[in-house]
Amino acid sequence: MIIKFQIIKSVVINAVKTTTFLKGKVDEGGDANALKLSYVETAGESETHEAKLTHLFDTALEKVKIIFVDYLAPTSQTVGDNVIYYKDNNDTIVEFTLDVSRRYNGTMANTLARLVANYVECYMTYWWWVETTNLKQAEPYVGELSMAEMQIRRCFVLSPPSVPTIPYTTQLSAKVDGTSLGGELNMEVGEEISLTYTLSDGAIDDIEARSKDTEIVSVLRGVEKHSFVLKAMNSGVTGIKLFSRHNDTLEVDTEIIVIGEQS
Amino acid sequence: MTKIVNISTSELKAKVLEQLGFLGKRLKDTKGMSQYPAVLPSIIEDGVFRQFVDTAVGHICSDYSEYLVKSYAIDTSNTISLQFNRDDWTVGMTKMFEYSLVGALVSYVVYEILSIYIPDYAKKYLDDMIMQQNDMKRHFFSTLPPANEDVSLSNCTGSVTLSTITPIKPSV
Repeated sequence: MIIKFQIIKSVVINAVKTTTFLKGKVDEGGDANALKLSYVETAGESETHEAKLTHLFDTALEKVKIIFVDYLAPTSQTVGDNVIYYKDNNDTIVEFTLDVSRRYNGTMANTLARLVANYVECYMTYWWWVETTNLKQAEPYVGELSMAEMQIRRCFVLSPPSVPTIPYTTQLSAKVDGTSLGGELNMEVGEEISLTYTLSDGAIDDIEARSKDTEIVSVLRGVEKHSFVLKAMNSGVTGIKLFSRHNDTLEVDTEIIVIGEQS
Repeated sequence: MTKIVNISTSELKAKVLEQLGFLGKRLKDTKGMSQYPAVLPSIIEDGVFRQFVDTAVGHICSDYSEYLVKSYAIDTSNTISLQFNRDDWTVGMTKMFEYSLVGALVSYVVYEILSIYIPDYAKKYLDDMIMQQNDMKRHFFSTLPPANEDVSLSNCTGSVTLSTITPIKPSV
């Protein structure tokens, strides 16, 4: 199963900038002279800040990639699909392509995208506070990062294995000498008839044939595949039934009239 | 991207002279003589004026690190050119900063001149300069929220493609 998702760089970086902006404003609110502190701790538009944020963003992506390693199920054909790359040259959209076992729950794909964006944001914010010496501010993000990683891992919940399907037949028809068996078959005492049956194309099944009165007609498996041999033992009227051992509604019922052997 | 603030020294000088003239016209010494000529620098004192301006720029801009003030120059037309390293500075903020900077420079130069002749009045301009320096800091170090974007976390999406596996059928 291929999981594809994308995160948008500007969304993540804006979230980090907003977080630092709010902290800066709170500091300003608490101390009117903290303008300069607020300015230097707020992630802004300067080249240095942008370069730092991009560096943190790229590093976080690699960290996430390592989380995914546990769930990748590449084959020799798909090993190259397990990649993370920028979708366009503007570095704005990062697209992940993961080849995982088909048992992973694919309904979490959107959630996975947003949780990964959240993980990257937490990672960036954590390091921003560490590197601006706001260790107290950074502290909560340690737990948040662990939580975010756990939540990403929970997206890869396994579904039960799919039940194997066996292509049992849905059709059963019997023929005698190449002619479809009607509702009635005439035999003479001592006569042996080969009965063949056919199933749906490509299907398998286990077909049984039983005589309703073995004194009149006996049924044996034929030498050929998909065939039975009917042997008329005594004169009389009876019937045979062909039925599937896997499908109760699938059967062929035929009346057999055995007449005495002609002299 | 940087923002450049240009200040003409001739305009600066005119503003200084206005302040000194305003004060000198109303001041008289103990003998009742006007202080007007005393406080106004003469043309030959232009060099001193320039020294005061240079000192003022150095002093007032010392609050901003080398990282924040990229360059300081006075060109042949005697225009002071200060280059500030602020990418997200809006036009309004730049203008406010520029007004406060000019005010602080004027106050400093007036303070320097008056402190030689009439130190009692000089103090007022020192207070003005400190106030204008604080204003400059407010304008310079004010931060803006990140620009609004039309994309959000909900635009981060995912999809799943089931691998095509051909079931193995037994031959019939």
